Amino acid sequence: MGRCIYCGRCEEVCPTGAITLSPDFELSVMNKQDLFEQADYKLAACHRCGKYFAPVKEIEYAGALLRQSDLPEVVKTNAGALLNICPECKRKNDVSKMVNLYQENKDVAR
Amino acid sequence: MTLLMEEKPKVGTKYVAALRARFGAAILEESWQAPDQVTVTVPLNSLPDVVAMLYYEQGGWLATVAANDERPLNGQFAIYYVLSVEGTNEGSQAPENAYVLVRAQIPPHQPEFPSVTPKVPAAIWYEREVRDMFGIQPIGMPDERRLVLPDDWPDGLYPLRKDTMDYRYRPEPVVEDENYEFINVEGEGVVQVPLGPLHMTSDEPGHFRLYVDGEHIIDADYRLFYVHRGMEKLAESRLNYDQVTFLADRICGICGYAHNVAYSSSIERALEIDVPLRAQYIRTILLEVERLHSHLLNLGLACHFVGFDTGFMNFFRVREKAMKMAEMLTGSRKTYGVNLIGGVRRDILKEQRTLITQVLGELKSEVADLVSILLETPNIVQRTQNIGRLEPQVARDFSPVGPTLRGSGFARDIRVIHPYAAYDRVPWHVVSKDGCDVLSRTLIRAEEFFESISLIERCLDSMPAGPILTEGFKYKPYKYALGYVEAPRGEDIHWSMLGDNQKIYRWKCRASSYNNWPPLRYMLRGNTISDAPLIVASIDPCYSCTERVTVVDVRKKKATIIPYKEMERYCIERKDSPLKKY
Amino acid sequence: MLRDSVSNLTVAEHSKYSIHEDPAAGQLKAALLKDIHRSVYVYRVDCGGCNGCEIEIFAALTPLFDVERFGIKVVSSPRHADVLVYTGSMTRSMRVPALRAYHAAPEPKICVAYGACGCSGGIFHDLYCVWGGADKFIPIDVYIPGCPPTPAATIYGFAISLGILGQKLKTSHHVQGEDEHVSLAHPQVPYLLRVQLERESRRMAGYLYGKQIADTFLTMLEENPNQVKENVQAYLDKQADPRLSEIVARLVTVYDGYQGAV
Repeated sequence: MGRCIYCGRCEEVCPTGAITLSPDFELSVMNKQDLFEQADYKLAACHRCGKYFAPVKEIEYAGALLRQSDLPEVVKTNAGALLNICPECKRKNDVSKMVNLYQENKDVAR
Repeated sequence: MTLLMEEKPKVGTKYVAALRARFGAAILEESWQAPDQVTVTVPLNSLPDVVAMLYYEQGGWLATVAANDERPLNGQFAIYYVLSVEGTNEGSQAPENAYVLVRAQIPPHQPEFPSVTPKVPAAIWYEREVRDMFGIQPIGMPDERRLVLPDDWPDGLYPLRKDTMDYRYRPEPVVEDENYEFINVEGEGVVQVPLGPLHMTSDEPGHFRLYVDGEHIIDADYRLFYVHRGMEKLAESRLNYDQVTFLADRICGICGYAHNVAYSSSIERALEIDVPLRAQYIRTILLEVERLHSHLLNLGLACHFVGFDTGFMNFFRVREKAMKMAEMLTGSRKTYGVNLIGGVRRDILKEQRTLITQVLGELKSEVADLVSILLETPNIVQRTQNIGRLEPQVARDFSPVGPTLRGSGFARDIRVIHPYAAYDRVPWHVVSKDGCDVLSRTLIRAEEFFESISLIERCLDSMPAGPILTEGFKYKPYKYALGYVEAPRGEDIHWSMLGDNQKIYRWKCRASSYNNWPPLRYMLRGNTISDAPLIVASIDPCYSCTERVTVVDVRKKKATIIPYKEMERYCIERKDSPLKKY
Repeated sequence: MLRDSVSNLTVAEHSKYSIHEDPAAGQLKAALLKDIHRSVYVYRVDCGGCNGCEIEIFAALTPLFDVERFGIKVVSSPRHADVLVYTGSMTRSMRVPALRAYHAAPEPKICVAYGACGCSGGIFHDLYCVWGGADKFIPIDVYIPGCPPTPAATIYGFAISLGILGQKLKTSHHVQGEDEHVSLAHPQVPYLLRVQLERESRRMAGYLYGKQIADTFLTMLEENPNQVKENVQAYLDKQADPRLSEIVARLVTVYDGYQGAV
């Protein structure tokens, strides 16, 4: 909290309303350690490479949003399958898909 | 928006034509960033002449000087002299105000350029800063001392070069003590009075050295930039475009929002983003709210320095109403942080509107009473009339800004000269006086206060409907433009070049006080010590503004400083004050 | 010769410059607090602040907040001071003057780090020309966070440093519980409609008010989807704010557009 500039930007952009600023002003402390707040969240491991890449809570939230949306079921299923995959593996996945597509097109053209 | 740009006729073509007529082939290139912003590229050796011609023959004022490490782009350093060219009031022609940027490239194997300072004294601090931050030598610059970088910074390390250091690099202090060389004034009976950097006249650090004979100040020298933190480098490294707005707020705790608007509008101008009209009105209102509290602060201090503490306390009491207004509108008393690139973060709804209308009414009547009490106190006029004179010629040479300049007879206000936000949509007028003294500057602030109140009221009355935020634009690398705002202390100019990694490539912000400090020396001369704090306060200096970012100075040569000729003579003879000559 | 390694002198490395307080100082300070009661002299040391903190301290002194009623007085020399208030992120140039001010004040003295910059360097914390907070060199007794701290926070901070009030804030450590999940906002409303409404509301009223207005609209939508327009109109009539009506009218248009597309 010692470094916070109290601009309130985090409150404004937080999609879940986890942060709120209050008019409380009694923040002074004798011990610097009291300015720190720590939170531990469980991390989720990538289903492909096994590396930890995001909090479990965040992935669950993304999944819930996906279910709430009125997108076609097939889109939901495809996107849902990628939920537990880390960004790096997703990129690799995309690249290999593109390569396959390119190969297929080439084959068709031939 | 591209369409809009084509519709608007270019302003300032006649200045470019004049330059071409005089310098011909030396005008290598001409490019327009906005309808009233043009960059002309010239060879290095023509730089002083081109700048001097624009400054003295075409009615130019030096707005800022930005150096830029363009080696990753084109292999060269570049330096931009930014002038607001306003013509010479001939006949009854409508004024043609344009920003002309004179650009020259500097080869990296020979990092030097001919100093413009001997021809245009206003460039002195800028060129010292360029030397500190980029290690580019101004050849022929009389003052070889560091300006921005601290004394304990190592030689030869230039923070703003792209390839020198990480923004977090903190070299070991090279000296244990300050070793800044102050000018040496000799003469019979001359005593040096050092003040600061921690001192009682002002909250902020700055070291003054007054050279006095008895009670009379013969000369003054000052070492500022105790507050240099390295913001420009920070903006180029850690923050993204929207985050820099919050940094800009912290250039100055008093007029931070002005910097915020100047920064945002420079980016918006470079990208030709259409900022919604309602957002422009909200910005105008907040800029004026900031002026309210800032002017009340200065009026309070003026009372304090002449020993009228009742006035001081009363001005600060009513100032809290302006603070309340800011808190209501932005959620914050001081650092508003309301801008984003493309608009503002907060609208003004009925609740806020009702409250500020009521507070404005209270402020108007209370401050009117206080100002009349202030002026009827005989002490005030006695202590301020003819004190700290800023002669018009000195003002012309050094390009001071804001009430400091307007107190010396120049009705120059960026809000009119280069209208931005909503200033050309609501009626108001510029306040100027020709007393050239502390009294004039104080009166200007008092009158501007009421002008600001009516500006806010008019903006509230004619506030347009519609959105307050433009979203979904794309950042284009290496576009650049100026942003400018008339802050309470004078114009703030920001020059920004966009980068290719969601970060700014180069951000040069120049605060109003930067231009007001150099002429202060002339204002102090010839007065008594007891008036010094009053004079310093009358330019309403903002140390932190000025001291934003800077750097290192390269060589600590033991060269003695060559003072201006006149000053030298005055020091020796100690008669026939140069002040009287004008 | 790109220097990209972060040299960042650590606190330990700073120590050759920083001050080590005598262990007996604590007792002396307690005695001091007992003695000075309502006659406290404060000296401000600006170590590279932006002026925001300085001016808020000023505001705390002047009539509306008036710390002088507690006997707290700002003095113009560190030699008179019981309390030193350090503001600013401790720039390189101010290191020596800051230490000088520290040594000039008589023992025992209470040192306060004021503002985000004073506490930790704030937004400037890792820059090349700052050291990142007063406690890198000066033994600090009380931290007053804020950017800048409001006058009310300032007064509270002084009260803490003088032992008049107790500290409220405590460090906290949250560990995710077994069944801790994020709850969805407005689960009845399709996600894409919600995003469109929130976006339009933000464009019109900005982030904070935009969020509040969109929330109100979405709540009404959830409560009674068939009657939403009537309910919204009744709400707007009650508020009687033309600007609010303008914004909500846009939301209704967005809503209609979405319904039409579905």
